Amino acid sequence: MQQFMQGFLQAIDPRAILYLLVGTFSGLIIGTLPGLTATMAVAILTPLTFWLSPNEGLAMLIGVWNSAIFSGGISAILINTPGTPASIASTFDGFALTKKGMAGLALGINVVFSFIGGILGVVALILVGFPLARFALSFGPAEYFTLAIFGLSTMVAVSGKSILKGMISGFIGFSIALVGLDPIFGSERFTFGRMELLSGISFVPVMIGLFGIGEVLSQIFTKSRTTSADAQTVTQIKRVIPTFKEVKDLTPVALLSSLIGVVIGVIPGAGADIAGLVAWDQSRRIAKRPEEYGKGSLEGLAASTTANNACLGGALTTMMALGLPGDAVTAILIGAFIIYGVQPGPIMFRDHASFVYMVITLMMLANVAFLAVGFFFSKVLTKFLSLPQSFIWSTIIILSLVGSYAINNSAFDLMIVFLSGVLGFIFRLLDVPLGPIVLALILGPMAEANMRRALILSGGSFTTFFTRPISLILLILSAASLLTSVIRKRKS
Amino acid sequence: MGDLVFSFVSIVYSIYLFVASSKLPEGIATIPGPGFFPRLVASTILALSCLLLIFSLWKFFKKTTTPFPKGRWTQVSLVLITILLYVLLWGRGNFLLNTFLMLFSIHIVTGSKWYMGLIGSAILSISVFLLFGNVFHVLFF
Repeated sequence: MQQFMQGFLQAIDPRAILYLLVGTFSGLIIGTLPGLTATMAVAILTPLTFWLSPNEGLAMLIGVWNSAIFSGGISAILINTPGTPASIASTFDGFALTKKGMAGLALGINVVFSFIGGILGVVALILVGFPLARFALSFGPAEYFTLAIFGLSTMVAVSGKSILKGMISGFIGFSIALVGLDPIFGSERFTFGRMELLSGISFVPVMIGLFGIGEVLSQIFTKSRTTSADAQTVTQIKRVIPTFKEVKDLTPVALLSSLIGVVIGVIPGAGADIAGLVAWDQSRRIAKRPEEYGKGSLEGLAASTTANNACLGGALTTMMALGLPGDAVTAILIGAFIIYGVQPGPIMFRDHASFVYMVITLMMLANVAFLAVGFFFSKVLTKFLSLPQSFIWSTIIILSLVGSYAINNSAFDLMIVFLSGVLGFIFRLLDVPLGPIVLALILGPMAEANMRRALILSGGSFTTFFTRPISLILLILSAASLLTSVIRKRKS
Repeated sequence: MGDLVFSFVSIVYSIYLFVASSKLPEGIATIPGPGFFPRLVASTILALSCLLLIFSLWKFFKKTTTPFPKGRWTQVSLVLITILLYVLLWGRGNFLLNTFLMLFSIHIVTGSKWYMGLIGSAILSISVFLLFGNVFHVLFF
């Protein structure tokens, strides 16, 4: 109880609330602009939070994350272009509602059901996070190694069109994580005699490069961002707040979609975009009027908007309880947690329970924050769609560069950002998924150290990974996820 | 075509990684040394890349391979050169001037009108300088 109160009080600190609101507003703008993802937003804002205390910094990042996922639905509804990939499914019914002259109601449903999904996601985090962390405390080195492999294999299975390219991407991530000191003997590896590489390649600049600079280069290459011309198709916005009856009628769909969102969020690598699409499809199967789906169904819109925000609670559950990022944003949040002095994983629940409660409270407050401002600003945010592309791109580039430098005052990190940006652009060009490389970069040190520890304990025998029940189950699940993905892709 | 390029580059990279990790200590008795995991990673990349190469060649000879994506290569190259110059010149000259010049170049390269680029770059450079320099006390040059 004392731990809960401590975490709760840190979360409701006036300065933390202020930063939460700053994050919420930033997320609303970034999420509304097509092409600017929640991942990019969190990545480029992470360096700005290092000057803040953990509760203030996390309040800002959590605010950005939650509101960007919600506000991605605004441009999906108004101009048929999802602001973030999480809102792809919201275009199906959202834009159809706009064409029917019900843009206001669609925006209102986006606000209310994103909030409901978000809150239910946090409830799942509370219910599942603690038992899962308690269970994970019994893990030994063999289990931790196979857990890392399981995380990587599920991410490979759900990201991109090619499993092979996903796996290569993951192992390239492992190879980048090898730079620095060996975790058992402490010998130098791949440092090329540079002092800056002794502590390894910091993954925050890598992620800023991959998701910030890489994305901008990709957009310049294809010139894909929505322009002001698209924004002019927005119709007159009327009633925004849905009636109580409308909310009540849509609640069963919201509950089902929340469950789908949470389950998908828990799976490493399966993000809010998949959650929205699966929930939309599943709710159509059980709908009374499935023929309306895609033609302006309120149920369809509620399903997608609920699931993508519920997914965040699920992703955070895996990240906090097991140290496995549920998606790219939680991968970046791991970096932020570590910089705040807390390593995500089961030990965090035991030794830093107040920190866990603080994050849970901040997640709740972030949902309340976008609910409070979402109704008023959904309409105003469409103005940002008219911002010139060049201005957006140059803002992202300079924030990525200066932000990365500012973390350690290191010019070397600038080169890391640049090279990661080039890598991110080339990978996007070649259709190589970026998720596995990021996950492997984070899991690399954990996987290697635990694999070698397990081998030392077993006297060099690899059978230790197959004879321990949890380890064996995780290996079977890893193989199954890859196999089912291969079969599914062959069929499609 | 992209898969062919990617698999070839991955093979070269894995061979380099394998050779470099071979120089690392082997380990003692049943204790795996610093070179153990890098060699494992390199071998896996090599095996997977060879598989990808075979599949890509199969597609290439069956002429089902997709062409290399077309896009604005010149603009991307110019933006990359601009960023690289900015990174290499970090610590030399003046932060505000360097930042302004980089941003203005990006505006022009990406098709912005010169006066819009001028105003946008000036506002952004000064904002970044004030935010990071004055609020976060980052040491610039």
